[in-house]
Amino acid sequence: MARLDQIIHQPVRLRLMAALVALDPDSQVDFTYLRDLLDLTDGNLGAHLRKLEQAGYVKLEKTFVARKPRTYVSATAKGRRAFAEHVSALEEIIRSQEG
Amino acid sequence: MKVSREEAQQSLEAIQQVSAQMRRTVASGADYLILWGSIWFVGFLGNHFSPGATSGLLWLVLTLMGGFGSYMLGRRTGRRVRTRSGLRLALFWLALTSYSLLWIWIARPSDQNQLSLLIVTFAMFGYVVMGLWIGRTVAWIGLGVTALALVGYLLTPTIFNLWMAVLGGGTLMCSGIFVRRAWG
Repeated sequence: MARLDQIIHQPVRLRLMAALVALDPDSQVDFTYLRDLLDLTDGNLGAHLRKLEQAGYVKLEKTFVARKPRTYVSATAKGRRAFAEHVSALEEIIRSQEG
Repeated sequence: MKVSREEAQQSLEAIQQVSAQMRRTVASGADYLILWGSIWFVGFLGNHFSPGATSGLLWLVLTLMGGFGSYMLGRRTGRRVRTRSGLRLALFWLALTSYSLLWIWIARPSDQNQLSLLIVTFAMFGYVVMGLWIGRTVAWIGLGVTALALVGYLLTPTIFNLWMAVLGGGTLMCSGIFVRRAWG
């Protein structure tokens, strides 16, 4: 039976992980694009990313593009597995309470 | 952790919504199909109605526009999402275009239909290879347009350019619209 993940279950982090997992494993999303996509502030997104990074679910890569600092975010293999299990657990809840 | 059925349902809906938004972000492949389908449509119509130097000039302008458009699409996507496969694809198309020009120069096709067929099959070979990397839909589009081009070349040589404008360009444009909707 799949288990719910407490870190991922928080609504913002759930959407954050959903966005990252929708991409290919070799893809990275720009921090500002992710912020706009999820309608968050820099601080809010940063805080949730730190939590996910501490759990080993996302990887942050800071770099320079045209001399401007840029941060790229990607889901790790561990994060993808945890997210998939969380989704399975949600589906099981719906199935188990049906009818 | 206790989660109700309603909460689980809401979470899954939120996941689906964000996933669709993100897929739209990276679904620039549809825009490339629409761009190059439009270019083929106008270019082959030009070949049909005004063959010779005029259509050559038209193709030159269209190809430059397509190259610039593709660059802008790649830049737009690259600002949001960066991927190793994106660079690999760009280099693949650069190599394929260079070799295509070289092979056309070596083969020296004898008429415009042959030249058009060569270019179309080179481009569709690119789609097939790309499809093996990024998704079978693109490979099927490549194979389908190649088959249509061969049928038109062999069976309707007098209206081959018109055939390619409507069926070749049209297929690319419709595929782009289909992919965009499917990923939306």
